[in-house]
Amino acid sequence: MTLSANPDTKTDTPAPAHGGNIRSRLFPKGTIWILLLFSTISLCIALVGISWRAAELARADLQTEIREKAEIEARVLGEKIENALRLGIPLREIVGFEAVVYQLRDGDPDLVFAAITDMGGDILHAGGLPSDEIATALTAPSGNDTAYIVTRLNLPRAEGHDDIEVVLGHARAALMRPVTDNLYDIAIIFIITLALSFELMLLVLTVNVALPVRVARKVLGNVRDRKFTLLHGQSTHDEIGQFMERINSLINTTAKKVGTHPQREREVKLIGVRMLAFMFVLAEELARPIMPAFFSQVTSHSIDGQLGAGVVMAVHLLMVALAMPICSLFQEQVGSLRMYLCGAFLATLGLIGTAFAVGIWDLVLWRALSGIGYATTFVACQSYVLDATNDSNRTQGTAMMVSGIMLADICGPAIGGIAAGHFGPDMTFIAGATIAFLAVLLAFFLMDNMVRGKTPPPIPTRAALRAMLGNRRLQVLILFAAIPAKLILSGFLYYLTPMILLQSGATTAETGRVIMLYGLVAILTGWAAAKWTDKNQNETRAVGIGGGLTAAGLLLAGWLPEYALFAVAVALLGLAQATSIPAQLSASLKLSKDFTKDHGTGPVLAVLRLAERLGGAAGPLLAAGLTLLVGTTHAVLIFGAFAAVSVLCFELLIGHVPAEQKNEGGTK
Amino acid sequence: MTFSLLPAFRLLGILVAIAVSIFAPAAYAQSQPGPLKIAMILWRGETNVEQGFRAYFDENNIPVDLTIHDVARDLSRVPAIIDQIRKDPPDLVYTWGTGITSAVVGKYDAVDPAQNITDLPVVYVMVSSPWKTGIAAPAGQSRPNVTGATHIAPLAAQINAIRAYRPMDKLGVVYNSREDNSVSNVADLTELGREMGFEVLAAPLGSDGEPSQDDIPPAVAELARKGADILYIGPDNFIGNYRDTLTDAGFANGLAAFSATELEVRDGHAMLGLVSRYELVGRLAASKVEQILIDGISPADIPVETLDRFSYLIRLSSARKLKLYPPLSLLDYAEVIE
Repeated sequence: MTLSANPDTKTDTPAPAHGGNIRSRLFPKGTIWILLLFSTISLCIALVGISWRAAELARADLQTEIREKAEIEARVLGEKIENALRLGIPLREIVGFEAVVYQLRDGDPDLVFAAITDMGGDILHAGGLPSDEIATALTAPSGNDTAYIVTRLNLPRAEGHDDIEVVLGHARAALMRPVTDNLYDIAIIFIITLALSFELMLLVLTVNVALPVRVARKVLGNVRDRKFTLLHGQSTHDEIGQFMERINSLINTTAKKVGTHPQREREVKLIGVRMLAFMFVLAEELARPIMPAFFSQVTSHSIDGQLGAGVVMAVHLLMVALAMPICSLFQEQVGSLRMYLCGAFLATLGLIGTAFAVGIWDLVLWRALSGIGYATTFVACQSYVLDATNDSNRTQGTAMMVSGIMLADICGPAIGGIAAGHFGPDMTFIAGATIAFLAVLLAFFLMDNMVRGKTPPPIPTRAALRAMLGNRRLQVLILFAAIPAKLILSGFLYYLTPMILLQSGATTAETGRVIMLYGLVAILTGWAAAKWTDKNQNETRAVGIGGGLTAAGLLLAGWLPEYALFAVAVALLGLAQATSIPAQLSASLKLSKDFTKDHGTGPVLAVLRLAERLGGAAGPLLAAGLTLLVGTTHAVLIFGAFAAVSVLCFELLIGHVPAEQKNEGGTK
Repeated sequence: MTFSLLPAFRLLGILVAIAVSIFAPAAYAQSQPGPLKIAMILWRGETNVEQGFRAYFDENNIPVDLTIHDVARDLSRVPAIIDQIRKDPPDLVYTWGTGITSAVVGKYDAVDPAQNITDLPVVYVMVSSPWKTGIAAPAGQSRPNVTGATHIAPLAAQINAIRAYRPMDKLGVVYNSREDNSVSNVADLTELGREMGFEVLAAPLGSDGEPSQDDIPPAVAELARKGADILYIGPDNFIGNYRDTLTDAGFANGLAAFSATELEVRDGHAMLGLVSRYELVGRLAASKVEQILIDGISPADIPVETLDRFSYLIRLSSARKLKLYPPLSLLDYAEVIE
């Protein structure tokens, strides 16, 4: 079993023997790192150059804009002063100048200070900064290295009175505001651009270079051994393809002489599944930060919007949970490619429908369709990997798919948040639908039709369910660790976090960044956590630690619902799941080793997954119900308390209930 | 062949009945053409309120026949005026102020048909607290023949208006303890003070007999000594009569005055006020008269209302005298009077 950042998208392949190099499963090996480094450096240089030039150009425009704005503000202040003087209020007796400056600052955060001075430069009234600081700023030599952009407006007064001046100071740092304001967005787009370009480069190089070269090596080795039984069948139209075509004709000629009948040799394009897995998860994850708010808005005409959002999200996750085992049953007849095409098409339809949904009933329908599409594409990719690999390279194949999913988990919410902020929620769903549709087109090229579904993913068999019923410890693991983990994940991360953050004034981009943290922390800490668990051989302890971390994060966020603390809670959830989920998997296999000896690990894992996914479906519903009853913040606290109680029960019961009863679990 | 007229008469009878039910005047709607006859009982002659009242009918081309009964600040004249009205009943009675209205219509739960007008519609103006004084029935109930227009801004808005001018923690109130509306207003202010964080320094006058003008300056001096930040002039007829005495005492003690009613700023020397413009109050009352007499709506179905916008008045001469100039931001929307 391979670690995934999104536990809902883990594959149900059998676990490798202990001691497998987890790092090698997560990251590509060999010279690919050099390519990654090269693409990173090239992109960095290009993006830094473009950003710098864009900032330079923006600065010139901004300077003009700030000057014009400052002149308007100075005129506003000047008119107020003139009005007061006209009414006969003595200049020095004018009251409330500072309050007016603060009012102006509400509309223009770049304004730092304003003052009224006489022609000698003495400050009569000041706002924003103390008079002495303004005096220092006004006497500083002008230039581009000063802290303020100073604007002056002369106010001529009636005869017998000296003229006065309105002086305004704007922060020079405002010139960089377009850059600083969007720094996080730029960083996110930068990281995602890197990730996507890496994905593309990996795909292109693998399909056009690595695979043909690998097959060429096999063919040439065959020639070297004087067998002449293999022809190069990995078709490309570049130099490698042309060269190997000549070699093929030589082999054909020689084969005729020696009397052999050479066969075309080719390798399955396993790399394609990585891109396809990435696309179907990205299509769904794009709208993650806006889902609760958007669903609330659409359903608010029929029932309480927050409850409506919970129902809609629960239906989607329920459909995923139910459709996965059902799709696995039909996989063999349908085949991976057709199944993927069907799934991606359904997902496209569901996402488009979601974008244009008008009420709760059609929204539920569209989301159910999306859920079925998601489950179908997932099973298609999973069985494709199982069929295209053998025992020696199955882990590598699964890792390829999981790494695509993880990348989408990280990129999706972040980029979707930015998109939603600029183009609105409906366009974000349409973008998801476009990606799902592109996946339909790409599947024709990226999924090898020679791979037929002969190995369906494991399904929860009756025997496995019976084994579970006879295994108290497995029940404790499922009831107090596996189900709560997914319930909290979907209820807190998918429902409550975006709901609370958006309600508290965070932008969709900021919300997306917080959700992204979950995947990022999970991927960064997953390897170390798994290594620690393997080293200590104490999976139940790791499950307990994961539960404790979840409870701590949630209670913190519920106690002080601030943006930063939500980010901490989400990061802790990522760490907790990275610690707990692989450990739950190993623990479940250990706890049912008598059953798995006879039946293999697949059915047990399938039961575990089904229970988890049903827990996941209950999460948004529970979160919505609690929101309705006690409000969002208290709902987070209750989720935290639930996590704490679950981990407590798990710790208390796991060592004190009887172990597996061999005869019950071994029913054939 | 015989022809019976009976069905034709029956049909005609039904048509007449329908026509009557459609066009018959409801409740107090005017039954005959001609100007609306309105009897006005006023406290101290015509004010801007009555000007607004007249202007409304002029602009809407509604002829009115107004009969003025001025009590000249003497409530004991009201019963005689009521008798006079009963001899030649108008279409509607208009009353000015809490005292007159109370005498004309009584309290909602203690109406005396012998002393109060119960058979004619009554529209009142310038009643500051109609519910507190029992002139208006509590929420959920109504009076069959009485409605009106109030003129006082909500107390919280008044306090915010004072604080927009200058900080205020202690509010000095000199008032006539023999006037119900003043007493209830001070009680409301005291309660609001607990919510909004200010203290009401109350100086009730008239606790032992009718108050006199001479009682005002020592009361103001006492409030100044206790640290009042500003003087508050509420809906109080006695203080209204001697407003200049109050504001002069304020000047002598360095205290500005805030008023909840227009005249104390516009014609007196209160430094600031959040007020309903009297002319607009008169127009609001006139619209209610139109609803009753032209549209045939019962007074019981017409809510007692105040204006939804108020004027911020500043008297600059008073500000100059006290050297308490208005903040710049107030000058954007306040009406500054020299």
